[in-house]
Amino acid sequence: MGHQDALDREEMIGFVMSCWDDEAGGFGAHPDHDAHILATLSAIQVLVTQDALDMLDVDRVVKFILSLQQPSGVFAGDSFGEVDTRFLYIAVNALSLLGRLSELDVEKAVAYIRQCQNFDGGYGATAGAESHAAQVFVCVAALAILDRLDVVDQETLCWWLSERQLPSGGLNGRPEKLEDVCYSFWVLSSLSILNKITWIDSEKLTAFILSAQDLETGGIADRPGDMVDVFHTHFGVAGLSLLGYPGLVDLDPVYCMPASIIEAKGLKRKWKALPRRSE
Amino acid sequence: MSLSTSTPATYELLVSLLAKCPKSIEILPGDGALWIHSEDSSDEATFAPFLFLSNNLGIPQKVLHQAYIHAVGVFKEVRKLSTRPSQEIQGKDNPAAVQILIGSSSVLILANPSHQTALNARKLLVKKKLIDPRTELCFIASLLSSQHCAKHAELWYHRRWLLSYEAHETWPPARLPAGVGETRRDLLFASQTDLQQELGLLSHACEVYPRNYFAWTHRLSCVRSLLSNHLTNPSKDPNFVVILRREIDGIKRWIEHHVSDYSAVHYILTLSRDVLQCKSLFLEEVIDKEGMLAHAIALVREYPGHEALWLYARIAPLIFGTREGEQIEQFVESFVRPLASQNSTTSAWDDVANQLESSEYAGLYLSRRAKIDNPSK
Repeated sequence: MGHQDALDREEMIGFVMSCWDDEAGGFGAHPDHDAHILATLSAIQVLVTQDALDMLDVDRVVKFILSLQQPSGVFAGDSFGEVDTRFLYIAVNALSLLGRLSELDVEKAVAYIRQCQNFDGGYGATAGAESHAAQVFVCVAALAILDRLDVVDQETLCWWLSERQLPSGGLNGRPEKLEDVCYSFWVLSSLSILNKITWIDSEKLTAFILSAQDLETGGIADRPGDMVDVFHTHFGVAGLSLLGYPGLVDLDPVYCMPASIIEAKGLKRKWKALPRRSE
Repeated sequence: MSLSTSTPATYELLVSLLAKCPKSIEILPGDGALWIHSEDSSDEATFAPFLFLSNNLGIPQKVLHQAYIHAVGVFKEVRKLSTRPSQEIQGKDNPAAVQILIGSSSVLILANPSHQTALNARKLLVKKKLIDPRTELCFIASLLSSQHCAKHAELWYHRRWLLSYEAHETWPPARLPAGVGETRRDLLFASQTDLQQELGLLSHACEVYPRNYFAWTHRLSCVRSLLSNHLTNPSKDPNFVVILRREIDGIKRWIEHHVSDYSAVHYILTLSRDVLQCKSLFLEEVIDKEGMLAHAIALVREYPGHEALWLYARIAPLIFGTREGEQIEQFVESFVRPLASQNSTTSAWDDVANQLESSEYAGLYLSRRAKIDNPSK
């Protein structure tokens, strides 16, 4: 939204570094919590956004991430070994941001994602798990970073994604679930990466996201009338950016970070959002 | 009453109740003041501000919140004393500290089922043989009985880790099927009773939280493990076919009673595909006899306003289609085309608010099918 100075930079970096788990070589979600790949990517994203990667022991973090790849190609979240395509995307995204993607076994990672493809064209959390819009995002975005979108059944997947739109204009994440603002990002990012963002009704979706905003506090809820939170505010704004909403900066749908940062790092992949409107 | 009880005492009471492995747990609105009377001297009052009847535990939300805040401090302090992965394990943990760690983590996990660090602390205690894995499975089953916990991926992950850990501890390596390991995460059930209990737990979790993604994924892991076990040694478990039939029949009934639950539809289709991919004529026959395409078609005819059922009918032919062409044609001509051509405003079935009209589902079915049959168009 162009207000990167709204939060204190040093305080933010200080908090991120206080979550470092020196024993594991990764970040936890909060000081004194165990390292996990989820929090590790968040830490890297914050540090990249704040241009503070010099704070990071990159070699140790890379070692932590690479240690979590399993023989099947998927990644575990921590040393206890539970696997999920979210963790695979995180590994690919983080290694890419750190310029260390060449150390990943790409073939195995892609092979695992292929195993997760369902008959509806979508992807789930593990091989055989139901298609889920957020899991579709992580698989498609990982394939985009790895330049392997050729393995996606694009038409079938985009049908399924476009069928997530309900009469209210909002999107759901699975059949017959309620619409939820966060899927504006999970679905739109995938459609944007596959250059099919016009397959949903953008005007109705924009109106739905705006209707979930609490005009007094400014935040966005999962759906109109509910309590607002940071999570849905983030993904609501991300969705609006991809829809070309006026006054927002461009969002890179592959990394879910400001497009200018990803472009400056030379990591931009092919994707297409709606053109930014002037008003 | 709850307001006059000190937080540490309430916290300790909650820890002791959770340690009893309740049959069910429910988070109740408010602080319990509505049903607790200070003059009450009955057994029920002993557990105030909690309700504890026939091993079923009710916890007022506000009380849980207070206990959680207390548990955060207790957990943080005690964790400094033990259980870091690098520390020496057996025999060096202070038993009192271990009990405090078990108690505080149980409250943290109940209030915040995604508390990875609390779950990890308990996994380490299992590895140190300071928590019996069977007791831990029982605790997690108590949590999963509650709607508040049933959908959390981390609890299902934790349960799978326990089942896998137990299998590796109890079964000598020679008895483990090929491929069983940390990443394959095959789950082995020592007895039919254990398996049935797991499936029962899953059905309940899917009932209290509809379209329960991680519960259905866990169910698939369980039944896939049985399948791979059967393929490794078909003569070992003659009951496999009986279990498979019962499972598919049971899920078909489930879908009939939960017509908007696509998670169940996905499960039954994926399981059928897995079984068909085994290339066993015998197993193929089991699946054929279940007539799942006919089941899907009958359900769509009955409830055409449900997207989940249309997807069932759309995807089933991709699995069973080559053998069922005539049935699909008949369905399309007698039902789908007439429905698709109806004006949606005059549809007799448009009873589902907030959903596409049934005629639109029919239209989608036809357009998707045309593409599948003629991919070049």
